[in-house]
Amino acid sequence: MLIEQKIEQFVKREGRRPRILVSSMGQKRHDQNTRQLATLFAETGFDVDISPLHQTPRGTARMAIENDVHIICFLSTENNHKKLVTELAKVLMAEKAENIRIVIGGAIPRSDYDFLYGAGVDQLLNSVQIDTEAVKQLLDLFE
Amino acid sequence: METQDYIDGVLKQNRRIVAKTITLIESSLAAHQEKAKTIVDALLPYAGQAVRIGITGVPGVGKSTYIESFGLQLVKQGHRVAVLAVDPSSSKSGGSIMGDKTRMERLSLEQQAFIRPSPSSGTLGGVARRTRETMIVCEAAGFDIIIVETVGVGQSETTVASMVDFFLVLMLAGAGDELQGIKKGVLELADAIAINKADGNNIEHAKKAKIEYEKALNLLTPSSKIWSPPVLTCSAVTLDGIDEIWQTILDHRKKLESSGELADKRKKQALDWMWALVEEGLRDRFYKNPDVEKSLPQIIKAIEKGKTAPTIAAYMLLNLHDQGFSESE
Repeated sequence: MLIEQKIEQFVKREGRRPRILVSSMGQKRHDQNTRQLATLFAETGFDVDISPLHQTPRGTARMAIENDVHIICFLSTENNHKKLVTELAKVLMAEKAENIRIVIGGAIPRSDYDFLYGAGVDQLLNSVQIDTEAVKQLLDLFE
Repeated sequence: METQDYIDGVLKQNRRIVAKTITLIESSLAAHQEKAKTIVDALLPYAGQAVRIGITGVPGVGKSTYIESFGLQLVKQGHRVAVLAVDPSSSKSGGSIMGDKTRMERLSLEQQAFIRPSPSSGTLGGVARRTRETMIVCEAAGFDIIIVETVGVGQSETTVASMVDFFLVLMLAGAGDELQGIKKGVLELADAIAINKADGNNIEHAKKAKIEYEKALNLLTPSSKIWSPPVLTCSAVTLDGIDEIWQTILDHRKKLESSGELADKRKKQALDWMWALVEEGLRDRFYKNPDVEKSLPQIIKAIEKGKTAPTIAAYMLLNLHDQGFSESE
């Protein structure tokens, strides 16, 4: 199925486009990859929120809840993704927002996968580049 | 969640439920809209006390940075501030990028603040209904200052100006051609003009621009008998002039309240709201009419091929709609 059709189905089901927060969590600056990621999602038909810099897991959760996004996405660049995911999942749970999906990309060693899935990650992107196939898989999470 | 859970949650100022209620208002599903209508009706008695401020300006004028500084100052004074921002959706993919909060780093973390960007997707009329209803929800949730931010292009300013108490237009000091590219229409809507980025080397430019704008405003007939829009300068960076703008807004409110113009304004806004709903409803019913839906593709094709004149086609479509209406009666 084409990605456009998948988005259309989503809108028919949910009453709005898939909304994703691209968080700068764990990053020292807005890098090119994060911007590219946001643009790609928007061009695919998502509504994309971009976080301020220096966002903490708590700030990310708050923004995700306030903007009522379906998905939080961030790229791991500082190799602290385990800690960030654990904290983020904890805050979301405490705020009764555990239904918000967590997606993480970047250079993540295979050996961390089990830990991350166990901690609450719904999808891992195995690089910083994301293609339409990965976006389709992401939308499958909601079917 | 049941309708009552939403109502209780909003009144208890639960951030997540306020957010979920706004999502219902923005939803394109009929069932969601029905629910949202009931919720907004129930919340209406708790709303109406807030100061409603509209802020516009061309892209790059520094709206988000201004709202960050302005909002933080209001929060410091003990106010609860809700910021509603409308971001244009791409007409190609339908998606959008909402980056307002990237420039509201500190305000977005304040407990006393709530910032909700919304994609503009769909019609302008849709944005108006949603923003009005979202304003009610925020007021019922105890926010006493509502800021509606719009991009200063297109007709959205007129829409926003018709739902706020005070309309602030942000401008930049250019290099002598201040008045170029500024629509007279926007100036007519303004309750005040603020020249932003009046800091550093730009202060002199800003002062000159201020005089230019004052001259331009003098040529317009003021829309209020007791208020003539002032031109101010400010800087979201040095914070100069930010408090002056707030004092201007308060002064405006006091004057309008005592003269009865505020009550008149709100009455007119209620009427505007009703007409906007009627128009949206009519459009909706037209497109959802089965006869119209069935014939529309043929009629469009006939026009594209030049077989039918647009005037006749429009007449045919409207007749189809009327017939469907009388049959269902």
